[in-house]
Amino acid sequence: MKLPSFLLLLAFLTAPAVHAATTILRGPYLQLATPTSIVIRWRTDTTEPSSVRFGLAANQLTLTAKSEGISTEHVVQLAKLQPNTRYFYAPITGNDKPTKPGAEDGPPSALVSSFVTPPLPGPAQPTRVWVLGDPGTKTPAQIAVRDAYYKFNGTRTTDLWLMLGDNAYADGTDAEYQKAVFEIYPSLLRTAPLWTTLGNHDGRSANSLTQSGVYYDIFSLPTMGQAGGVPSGTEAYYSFDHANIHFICLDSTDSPRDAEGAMAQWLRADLAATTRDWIVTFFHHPTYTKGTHDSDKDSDSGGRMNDMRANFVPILEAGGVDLILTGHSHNYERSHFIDGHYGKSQTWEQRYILQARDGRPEGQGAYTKPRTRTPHAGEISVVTGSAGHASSKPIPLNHPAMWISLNEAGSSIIDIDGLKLNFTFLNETGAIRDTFTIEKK
Amino acid sequence: MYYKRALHGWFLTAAAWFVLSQELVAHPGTDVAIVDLTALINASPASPELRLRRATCYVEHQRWSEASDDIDHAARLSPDHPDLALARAEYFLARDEPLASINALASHLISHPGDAAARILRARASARSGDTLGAQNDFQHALRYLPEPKPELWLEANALIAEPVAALADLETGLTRLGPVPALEERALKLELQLARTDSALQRLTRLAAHAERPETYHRRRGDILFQANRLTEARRAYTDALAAIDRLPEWLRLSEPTQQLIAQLTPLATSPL
Ligand SMILES: [Fe+2]
Repeated sequence: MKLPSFLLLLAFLTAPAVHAATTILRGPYLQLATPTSIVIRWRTDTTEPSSVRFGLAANQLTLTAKSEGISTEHVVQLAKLQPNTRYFYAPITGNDKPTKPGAEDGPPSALVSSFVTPPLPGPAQPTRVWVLGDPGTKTPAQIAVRDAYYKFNGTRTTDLWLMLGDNAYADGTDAEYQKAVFEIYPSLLRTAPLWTTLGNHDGRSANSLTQSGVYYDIFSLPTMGQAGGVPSGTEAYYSFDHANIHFICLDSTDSPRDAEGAMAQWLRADLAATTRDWIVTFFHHPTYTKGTHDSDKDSDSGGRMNDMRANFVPILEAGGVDLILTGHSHNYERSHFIDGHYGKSQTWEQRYILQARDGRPEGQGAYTKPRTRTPHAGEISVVTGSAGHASSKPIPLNHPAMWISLNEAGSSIIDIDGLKLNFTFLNETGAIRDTFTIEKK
Repeated sequence: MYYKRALHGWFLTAAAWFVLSQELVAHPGTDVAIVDLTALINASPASPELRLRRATCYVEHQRWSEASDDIDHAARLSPDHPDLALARAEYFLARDEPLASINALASHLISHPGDAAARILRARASARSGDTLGAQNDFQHALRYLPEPKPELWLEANALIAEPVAALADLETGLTRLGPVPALEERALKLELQLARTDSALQRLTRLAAHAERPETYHRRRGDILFQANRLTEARRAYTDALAAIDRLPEWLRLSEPTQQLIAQLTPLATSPL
């Protein structure tokens, strides 16, 4: 039915003022992506219903998803999506009626964003992952690291990104997350799902035992294996799949780290269950570092580095892990292709290096692993904790497990294509400072 | 124990970053967290939160007098601070003085009965002091208050239930709330076997296998339980199920060393004469 235009004008003029004033303060940001669903979150300055318009084209947002109730914190799951498909979406806010097309020059809410759902788990598909350790300093270095990656990546889709903890200094408060995360990476937050682990600084405003506090309020992480993997029952540690990659997040900060504890039992079950080609693990505290932290010192970080090395690296290696990503030390340290080192650096021996080369196809050759999942076939351990800044003082950077150690701000990029994994460390000036490749045959 | 609340009112400037990195190099033998907090306390000496946070670090390192000094200092700065009771309770519990820990929390829990973190702390102190009932009561309160109790917490509370049937029922409640979490499932299985509830244990494993991407190890365990119960025909069938599950794996996983070992173990079990 076509309404007379003066009625439409009347409706517009009498719209409640509160709607016109609604502003999106945070987001939208993407969480918990699965091949058939995704969680979209945002924050508004006024309390209102939570709804998202979405569809397969920017000008055809014909579907609506909503959550119960009204809130300023909006969490809406889009379900029944097609895998590996680009969707366009826009949160519905008071000043963005569904009857009105989203204005290009409107507030963030009115802008249509898009994302691509993950492919079905199993089959290979080229995947790009951006890895940020300890980013949240709000300093020019953090911005420079971000811009270097954006330039490097160009128009390519970032499939997902990982934050390795200490995402918002100094205390992981909501205000700090706003400044250090939501106001620094708005475009990527809208378009690529972010997965994260808890750092010690995030842990100051969060409590893993009660799963409360800012970190747990901000992020929607899987507890029931929604995105693949074995249910962990907690957002503190979890796993998920993307194409032929299995990602495992551990909590080195604030969950018990004993070798027979719930996290270790879950990890064993999760590793035994996965049929993905690649296993990538991430947590905050490095197992080998001589950077701004020292993994040889019992007093450093409450022994967390020791615990992760002694109790979790053996489980990961027995389960066939390929890549271990950590932060905490504000530098870059990339290991040899190693296996079996669970002690301090004084106990290091050359025999822990399984393939003594640079790992570069154009150099001494890529690292190789058998495709058949073989325990203790070697992994690379990377400390990439300088996405917020590097150390301002000289640091030893002499851990013998490392093939290269750099005191430079930067971030890491993982490109997995079938049975080949390419890794890049990009510094804040945009220079590629390290690369390596693992090939499975 | 982490009882921290969000801190407001200050944040790290570029200058503070510089101070922190100076301090780090200046005191290489001390935990960085303590070094950081000391620098921040020097910059903001009137903050009770910083004192309490450093106290927690000192407690972690068993530096008792420094921890106690920080808590006392925080109490002088802010006598009604909501975290004081928890800090003291944590300090006493770490020193293995559970009764002092319980006392430290008494009035706080009267005014804040829904503080799950405080309940958990008092439950631990009660358990340490031998008051199992008191501990169970506080754990149950905490588990009720928490929308998503963590598996570790459920297991900790469950370990206080001595009677296996009751413990098993409690684990079932946990599994319903948390999902099929491995650590809870494993403890439940252990209890089922302890109670000689073979069929319940088998059903549990069958359920786990049905949802697993790789069910072979669950079938194998079914086989082992049946074998021990002298139910040999069913045992053979379970081992055969395990081999069939392995057969469905992609070749690159089937040919892996652990899977080959499993095949080598299962084949005679599945084919041996009864
Ligand atoms: Fe850290």
